[in-house]
Amino acid sequence: MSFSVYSQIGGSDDHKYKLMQLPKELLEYLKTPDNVLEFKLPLSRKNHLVLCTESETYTVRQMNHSNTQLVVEDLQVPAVGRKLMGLGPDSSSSLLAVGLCSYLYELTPSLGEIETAGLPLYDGTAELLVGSVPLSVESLMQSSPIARTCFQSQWHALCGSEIDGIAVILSPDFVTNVLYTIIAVAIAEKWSSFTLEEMAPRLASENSKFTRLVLETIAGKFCECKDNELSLNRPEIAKWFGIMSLKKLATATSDKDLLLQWKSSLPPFFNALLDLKVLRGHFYRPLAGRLQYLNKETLSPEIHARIKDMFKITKDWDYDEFLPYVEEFIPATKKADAVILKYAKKKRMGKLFVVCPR
Amino acid sequence: MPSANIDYSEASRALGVANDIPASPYVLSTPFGLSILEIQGQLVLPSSAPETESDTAVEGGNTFVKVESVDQKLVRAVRDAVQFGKLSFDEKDPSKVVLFIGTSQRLNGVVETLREPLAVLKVPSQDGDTDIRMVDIIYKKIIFKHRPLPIM
Repeated sequence: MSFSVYSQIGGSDDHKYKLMQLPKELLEYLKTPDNVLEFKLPLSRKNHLVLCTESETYTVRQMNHSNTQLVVEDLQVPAVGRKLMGLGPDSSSSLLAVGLCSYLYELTPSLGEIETAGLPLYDGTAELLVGSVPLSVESLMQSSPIARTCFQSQWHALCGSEIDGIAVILSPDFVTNVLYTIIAVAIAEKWSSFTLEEMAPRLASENSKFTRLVLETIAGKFCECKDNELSLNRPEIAKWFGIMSLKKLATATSDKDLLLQWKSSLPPFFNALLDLKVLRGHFYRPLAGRLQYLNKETLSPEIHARIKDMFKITKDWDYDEFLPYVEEFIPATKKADAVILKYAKKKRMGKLFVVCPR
Repeated sequence: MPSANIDYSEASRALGVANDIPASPYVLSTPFGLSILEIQGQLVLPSSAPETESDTAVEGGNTFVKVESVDQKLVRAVRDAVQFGKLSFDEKDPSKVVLFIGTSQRLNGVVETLREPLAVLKVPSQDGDTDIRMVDIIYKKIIFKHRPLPIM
């Protein structure tokens, strides 16, 4: 069997052919027609393109190559709707190159992200909303490079809520107040689990700012949901109060003092296991045995610069306390050490591993 | 934030019919007639066709033809094309292919199954109301990994 191969001259002016790799899950998704499938180009990052389905987000990477990759049409297939003129019946065994592709789109599953830049911070006072560009949660979801079903959980994890139809980020102090009240109500009512319908009126009676939408945010972040029943996620709540206690430290404090402050910050009768390990990624040690709060957001968003920033703050880092600050740069296919050792040295000190500058 | 919808109804249909069509001994194109042909390096082709009323023309050793196409809106268009080779499948082993270019060169190639299928996107060149269309899904490609050999 042989085919004559032709190439269209000049290509088409109104469209271009592009090739995109299809992971298994996406291929399955395409079997159901009329679902959401769209490319999104976030403005917050340069050259960053994502593909969103209803439940998955993929980062799109352009893989250039130097081969001649032609999209060809088999003119024997009636669906093509093209024929060579003046060649008679012989023209049926012909291939026609209609597109030249010098790159492929490669898709990598990602969590997606919400564009929070410019969103107002809400601390319970309405004044903060004045002057900000009003954006509803629905508009925010449409303008964020994230799949629809993943949006809600990530939005709640960021302490995002809606006040008077405007998407806002709840301030940490406000979140602490609401959380404190929820725990106090649950303990007072002896609820081991509760529904939103039960908690919402009780919470509103304590403070009118604690609306149903605010409750949904806090419950989404700090509660586990099973059959519509919410139960407090104690480790997550303890971690939140631990971070708040760390933030309040004016100077470097010993582990023991921090644990005491952490314990006293928890609502009365609320028991949870307190372990400094859960606060890793939120503190550094300026002196041996003493720790201080360090916000990841204040460090550089690029790995090399971030590690430099970290060594400027302190020279020796406990390996386990260092890792959470650089974890986001370590690809799933690589070991952490393979990345860290490019920029830093790892040495053993007794039972501990310490990371220091090269 | 700029965004673009992808109309994948054709790809969805292609996924549906792919299983209904019996496998051809020559695995060349999808049920919708598309396939990928990959050659190492660059293929240099004429950028324009000779101006002639005739449907076929020969100039500088190249055969030029006219291609008639009818799109979804039944709009007819005629374009120029140039023949650059002849593709021949091995009768004993259909996964082996030879591409003869002109009268002096041949390329040995294979039909290769792709690690991940490829979606063919038809992207409008200008921004407008038209969505990006995913027109087909391709599972195999014909690849020529070696240098051209002379035809003896």
